[in-house]
Amino acid sequence: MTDHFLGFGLGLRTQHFHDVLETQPEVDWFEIISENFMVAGGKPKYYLHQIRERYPMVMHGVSMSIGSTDPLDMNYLQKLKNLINEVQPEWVSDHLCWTGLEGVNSHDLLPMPYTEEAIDHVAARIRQVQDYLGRQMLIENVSSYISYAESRMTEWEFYSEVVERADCLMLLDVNNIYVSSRNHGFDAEAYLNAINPTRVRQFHLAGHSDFGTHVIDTHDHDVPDPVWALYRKAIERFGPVSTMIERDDNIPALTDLVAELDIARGIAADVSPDLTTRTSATREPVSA
Amino acid sequence: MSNDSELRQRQQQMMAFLLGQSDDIAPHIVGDQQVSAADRLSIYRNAYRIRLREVIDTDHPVLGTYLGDDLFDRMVDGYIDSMPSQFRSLRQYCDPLPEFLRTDEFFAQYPQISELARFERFLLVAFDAADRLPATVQDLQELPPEQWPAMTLRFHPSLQMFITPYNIVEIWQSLKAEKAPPELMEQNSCWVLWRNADRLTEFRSISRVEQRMLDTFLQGHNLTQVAEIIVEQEGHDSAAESLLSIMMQWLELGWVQQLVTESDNPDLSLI
Repeated sequence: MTDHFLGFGLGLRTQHFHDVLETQPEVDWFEIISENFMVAGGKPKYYLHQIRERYPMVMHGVSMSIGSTDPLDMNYLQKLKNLINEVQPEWVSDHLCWTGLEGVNSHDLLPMPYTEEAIDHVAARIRQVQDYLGRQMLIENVSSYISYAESRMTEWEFYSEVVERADCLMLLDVNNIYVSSRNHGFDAEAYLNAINPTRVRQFHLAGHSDFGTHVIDTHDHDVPDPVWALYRKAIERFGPVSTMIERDDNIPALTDLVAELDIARGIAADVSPDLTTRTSATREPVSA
Repeated sequence: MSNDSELRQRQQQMMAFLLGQSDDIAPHIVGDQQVSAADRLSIYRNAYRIRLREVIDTDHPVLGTYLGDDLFDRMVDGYIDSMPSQFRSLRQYCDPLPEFLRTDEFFAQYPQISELARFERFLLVAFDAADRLPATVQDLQELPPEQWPAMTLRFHPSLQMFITPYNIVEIWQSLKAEKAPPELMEQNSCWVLWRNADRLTEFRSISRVEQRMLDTFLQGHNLTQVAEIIVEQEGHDSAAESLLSIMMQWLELGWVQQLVTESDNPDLSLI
């Protein structure tokens, strides 16, 4: 058991704010989308603080655009830093991608070409961000649908090299590995086996939309069997890693997601029988 | 990173593709027998438009109902084409929507559409404006009388005045209640939106006197100056009563964040 194992968490979504406070579900921790709370006040901030008092939290960003060739957006990073001070998260993450250029935002997680130039560029920027934030950050692999002709290595070689050169940590999205393996025809297990276990701090699980010829990362379905199977492989290789389910569309009742989280707990316990989660029957306030 | 680097060129080409400006990215993308390069790229272009459409739909539900499917599609396509997102957060993506609707050749024929959009933007601002504890009636009562004349008011960050030449809020309310909206009427009206102590957004119409009073306070004038305006409008007899009752109501509704006296701004007394 690592010091960083938080147990089994959920993405905190607006639809569940009230139920989380009312029912205090058996969820070990919550992940917030950082940008959703970069607002001045009102209900989002009220619930954020109330829930933070009761649960550990991590922050997950979607618009750092760490791979963009635009200069880093220091205004955004300042807001992120302010939110970190406010939330005091266990850790902070964003994606190995770029999201916009020349002042225009795609609001999408656009993949990088797997080249030496891109490694140099993104690793240097991650270091810059880590220096600015004063902490290591986690970088997540994204789902992708395109391959660039100039790519000279596999996604996992690119990802690993960026992480080593930047000296950051990994948020391994098991669903994204599955989705990209289907879209690009690679072996998802080979991906897992190439990853340095000491870098892996968190797992994401999610559902997707399978169109037969390709798979889209929609986060609007339950976690499907192939992703559970890959998660089992991941637990076998990496041991207990903080795991959470992302659901962003077609969002079910909180109780359904808590039940789905129990599947993850079951798989983890199956692989590591001595695995205990941090969930306790009575939830004590945690210091924020 | 230099402007001629391969990485930057590729990102410029990809953005141009997403925005529908160029297909120069295509030769740099690899397809296979299962999915062609063009189809792979189109996943991103479709996702870009779908995502922005969802934001417009979510932020402007009543406007969407008012327009109906065809006009809503027309608005969405026009807005996305002319307004690539300049914002890091989608929360701001529709901030320029009222202005787009006010100036677009087609939608400008129906000014109420821009006004409906503007009202829904105000609702969003009230929703997540900064939190501040409101001042209370008791705070006012405890203020020494000699400090009243020079007192100014600082309002809650969520408070906004929505001034419109039409019966926009009535139309919005009917549509929200899933009722047939009233006919559009020219009707100068002023509404105040704010977030109450339960973090719920409220709005109510205000009289011309109250509007003038609020406007004057918002410009930073003090109670004496506001009183002069009320006297001018209402006549001497009822001015003091109106002023006090309106201020009390504001305090009860949580509109006022702070009663600012000269002791709060010592430097101002030297000017």
